[in-house]
This record gives sequence, structure tokens and C-alpha cells, in this order.
Amino acid sequence: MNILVFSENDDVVKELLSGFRDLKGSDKVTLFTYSDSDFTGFADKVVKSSFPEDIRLEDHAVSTLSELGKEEGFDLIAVGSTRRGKEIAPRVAQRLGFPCVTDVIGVYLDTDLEVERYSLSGRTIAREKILRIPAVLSVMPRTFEITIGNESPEVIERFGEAGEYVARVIGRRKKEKSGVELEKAEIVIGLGRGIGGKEGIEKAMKLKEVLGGEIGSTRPVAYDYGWLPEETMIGLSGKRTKPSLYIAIGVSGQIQHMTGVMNARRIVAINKDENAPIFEYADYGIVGEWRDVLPKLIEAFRNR
Amino acid sequence: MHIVVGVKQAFDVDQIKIDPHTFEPIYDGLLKLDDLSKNALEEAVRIKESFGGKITVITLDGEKIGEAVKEALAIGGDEAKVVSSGGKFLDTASTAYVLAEVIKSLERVDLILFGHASIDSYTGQVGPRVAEILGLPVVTYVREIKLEDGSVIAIRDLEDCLEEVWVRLPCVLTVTNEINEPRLPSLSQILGARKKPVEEKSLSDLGLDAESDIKVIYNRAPKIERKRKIYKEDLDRAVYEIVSELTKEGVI
Ligand SMILES: Cc1cc2nc3c(=O)[nH]c(=O)nc-3n(C[C@H](O)[C@H](O)[C@H](O)COP(=O)(O)OP(=O)(O)OC[C@H]3O[C@@H](n4cnc5c(N)ncnc54)[C@H](O)[C@@H]3O)c2cc1C
Repeated sequence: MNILVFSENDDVVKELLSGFRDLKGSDKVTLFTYSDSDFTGFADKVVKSSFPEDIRLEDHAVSTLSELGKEEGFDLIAVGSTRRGKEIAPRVAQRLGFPCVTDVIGVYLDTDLEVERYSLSGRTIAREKILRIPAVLSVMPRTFEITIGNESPEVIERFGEAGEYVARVIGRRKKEKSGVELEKAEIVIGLGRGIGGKEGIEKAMKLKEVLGGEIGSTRPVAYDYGWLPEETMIGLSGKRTKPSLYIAIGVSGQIQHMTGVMNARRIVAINKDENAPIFEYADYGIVGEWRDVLPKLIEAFRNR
Repeated sequence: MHIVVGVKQAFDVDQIKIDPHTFEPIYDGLLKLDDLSKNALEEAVRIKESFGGKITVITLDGEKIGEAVKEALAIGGDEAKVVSSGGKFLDTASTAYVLAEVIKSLERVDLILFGHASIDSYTGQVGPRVAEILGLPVVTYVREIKLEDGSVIAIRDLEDCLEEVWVRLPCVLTVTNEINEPRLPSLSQILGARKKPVEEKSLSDLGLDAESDIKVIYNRAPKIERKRKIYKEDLDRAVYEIVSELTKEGVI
């Protein structure tokens, strides 16, 4: 298979290039990129481009990927499933008349093209067979590990107008980076609406001091009340984590949140409502007020 | 201002049970108006409240006019165009084709809103595909909409930044769950919705035979065994045991 890869995120690019290189059935992997990074050891061929600041990256990428798809006869176009990528993939598919599957978490090329993706907001995993190639996929970040190979790519530059653009980017505001690395954390303490505000958050910070790890949050905490930065939100529309321990405090356990911690090795839940769904997902649970439980937990971890 | 809102009758993902033997979901007719469709609809209602105009709800549905359409009309849709699939499964490409056909048949459309994905299948493909078919600009993951004369400023919620995009009308926007808090319809709105016009079409009316390029081989819950050891009393013992277990298991 002749594969074309794109993502605006260089880490995701390297994951995709590593993953597709190692898949049985893949022959050549070409990267389309706006980045100046060196992809030696990753891609067989690199097509570089750039676009004016005030044009949407998506619009330019959709045009260029569609043109490349037509010109070079790729069997598969794989886009990183970031938010930008999730717009790009179906648009390219629609332009080229290809089938498309988004948010893929596993790719199998052995005989047919098959993929896995989350379904029902993450409650289930669906395995799907794509009956017709060429096809477009958007592949979730961290589906593949980054591994360095021996490719020394031929680099080609491709400039010029690729289509007409109606929309204009008039501003970009970087989100504040608090240095929280939820995706990589071994221990995640997740705070829900039940934490009640500043006092609870401070108590949870004490737990973090003893235990290490990172603090994550649910939607009400991050977006509705703003008790913690938005980037700490875990779940369907937030971060996906894979810690060995997830401690949920005052979290009810709705699937849209739980989907982001489903792969935790152990889940501990503290919730005052014994009927809260979180206890269905928990390895260990304490029915109680965090005010009563947290001090004891901090003490116990400290004396461990 | 003519606003079209694409809505979906989706599976209620929180209510669906998982069969303990096959790990497959038990759907049992648990349907509801998709959460993100509600966000799109709420945004349309707010725009109509400030600028006036009309809201047309469009949907692709199963057998008949479902609760989702009625709810959408109760929340603020003025009329609905429903395409019934006759119970057939349609993939995103066919769904987008159907909805685009419906939009083409409408009089002058200014703004088309979708949720950025639906809560059950969560593909996020329909909005962008519809825009491509209609040859309209699209902006996805919109968290704030500011309408100006003949154009929109949309603020997108991306992983690392908020991106402000200007785009002229007509265009397609897909909104996030964070854009607003959808209102609950009042009883009189629910009753009033029954009198609003709903037009029904079938797939064959639109000349579509729904063959899909994607075949679902299986769909089941991951087999993650949880211990579910829940302590309801004696906090001291609970904390002690949990911490020792976690230590023994090498988790901490
Ligand atoms: C399309 C979509 C996407 C979404 N994406 C996300 C997402 O990415 N992330 C996310 O988190 N949510 C997401 N949500 C929202 C999600 O459905 C839930 O509404 C949310 O996760 C609930 O957050 P919570 O558990 O903090 O709040 P609640 O559901 O209000 O639960 C609070 C819990 O705290 C407990 N509690 C209260 N006081 C105490 C106390 N003193 N001590 C102990 N326990 C206490 C209560 O018993 C309750 O169970 C999404 C929703 C939709 C529709």
C-alpha cells in the first residue's frame, strides 16, 4: 500500500509514520507537512508546503491533500485525529469520493483494510472493514509508538495556491500552558463537581504533593466553574489518559468523562452517593464525603 | 435569516446496557435528541432571538417522525424536514448526501449548524461532508458565534489555541458542547410543537440506495475487569485496605 500521512502536530506525524512503516502491507509512506522538522528516519518521501497566515490550515490542507491524492494514486490517506485533522479527513474523503473512518485506534492491513474505533462515546470499540480503497482515516494521537527507522526521505517542495479560500483567520490565542501532562502521567487525580471549589481543590493538591502525578478534571470543574484550567479536562472532548492509578473525587462517572480514563490500570473512586455510576468503573471505592476521606487518604499515603 | 440545523436521533449512550456475556450493547430503543444537536439548536434559537428569521430542522431518521424531531421543534425549530431511512443503516457519506439534498431543496439558506459530532457514533464527518457537497465554507469546533452583517466570526476551540475565523454567509458551522447550555422546552412549547409543519421524505424520493463502503464487523465493550470493591462504612479500614492493596499490586 502506498500511504500519504498528514498532521499539523509533529509528534502525531512521527507516530503515524512509525505505525504505518511497521504495518504489514505498507510499501511506501509519504508525508505532507507544513513543518520544517527533519523526518529522516521516518518518511520515505516528504512533500513540504506553506500557506499564508490568514488562511485556515484546514482549507489549505484539504485542497493539497486532495490534489496529491488524485495525482499520486495513494491507497490510503491517514490524518492525525486532532480537531483540525477531524475536519480535514472527511472533507478530503468527500472531495475524492473515498470512504472515511475517523478516530481510529487500530489499523490492520494484512489482507483487507480494517480499523478499530471507539463507538457510543467510548463505551464500545467497533471493528470496521473498509470495503473500498483508496480510503481516508483519521488516527487518534498515541495510537502508535514513535520508533526511528532508516528512511532518508526525498524532500519535495510544493507551493502555490491550492484552491480558493473564503474564510480568513483573524486571530489565534494560545491557551495557557500550565505544564500539566495528563497524557503521560502515571497517577492522575480527577476532580469533579463534588469537590465544591477552592477548598476542595487545595486539599486535593495536598494529595498530589504526597502521591505525585497530575490533577485532571471534569467538564463542570474546567468549563462551567473554571476551578481548574480547561486543559485539565479529561474525557471525550478533553484529554485521554492512561495512568496506572486514577483517583476520582466527586466525579459522578458519566461515560463522556470515563472514556478518558478507561485505560487506567486501577481506578479509585470517592463519592458521597453510593449509586453514582463511577462505582461501576472503580476497582476500589469509598462512599463518603471527600472532607472526611481525603485527610485520611493523604495520611495513609504519607505513611506508606 | 434562515438557519438550518441538522439534528440526530441518537442512542442514549449513558442508558445503554452492556450484555455481560457478549459484551455487546443492548440498544432497546433507547433514543434521544443528540446532545450536540441540542447545542446547535440552542445556538440557532439565540441567533433568531437577536436577528429574527426562521429555523428549519433537518434530520435523517429511522422509521417515523421520532421524538428527536418533536423535541427539536419544541426547543425552537419552526419547521422540520425529515428523511426516513426505513430502518436502514446509513453511513456518514450517505447521511451527508441526504442532508445536502434536503438543504438544496430549501429556499435561500444563510447558516447551517451541526454538532461537531453525534454522541453515539461520534464520527464528526457529516457537517464537513455536507459543506463540501454544497461547496460552502465550513468552520468546525466552534465555541462562540458572533454574527455580523452577512458574515460570521467564529471562535474555534482547538487543543492548543482559540482560533478566530471570519467567514461570509452562507456557511456551515459545527459547534462544541461547551458553546452554550441548551434550554429545556416549556410545556406550552412541547404542545405547540405538534402544530409545526413536518415534511417527510424517503430515501427513494432522493434517489439514494444506501450501500455502505464500511462494514461493522463487531461492536462491543472492551473487556476491562474492575474489582468493584466498594466501602460504605469504617473509613479508616477502607483507606488502610485500599492503600495496602494498591501498594501490593505495585500501582503506587
Ligand atoms: C458531547 C459531550 C461531551 C462531553 N465531554 C466531556 C468531557 O470530555 N469530560 C467531562 O468530564 N465531561 C464531559 N461531558 C459532560 C459529562 O456528561 C458529565 O456531565 C460530566 O462529566 C459530569 O461531571 P461531574 O462528575 O464533575 O459532575 P456531576 O455529574 O454533577 O457529579 C458530581 C458528583 O460529585 C458527588 N459529590 C458531591 N458532593 C460530594 C462530596 N462532598 N464528596 C464526595 N462526592 C460528592 C456527587 O454525588 C456526584 O456524583 C460531555 C458531555 C457531552 C454531552
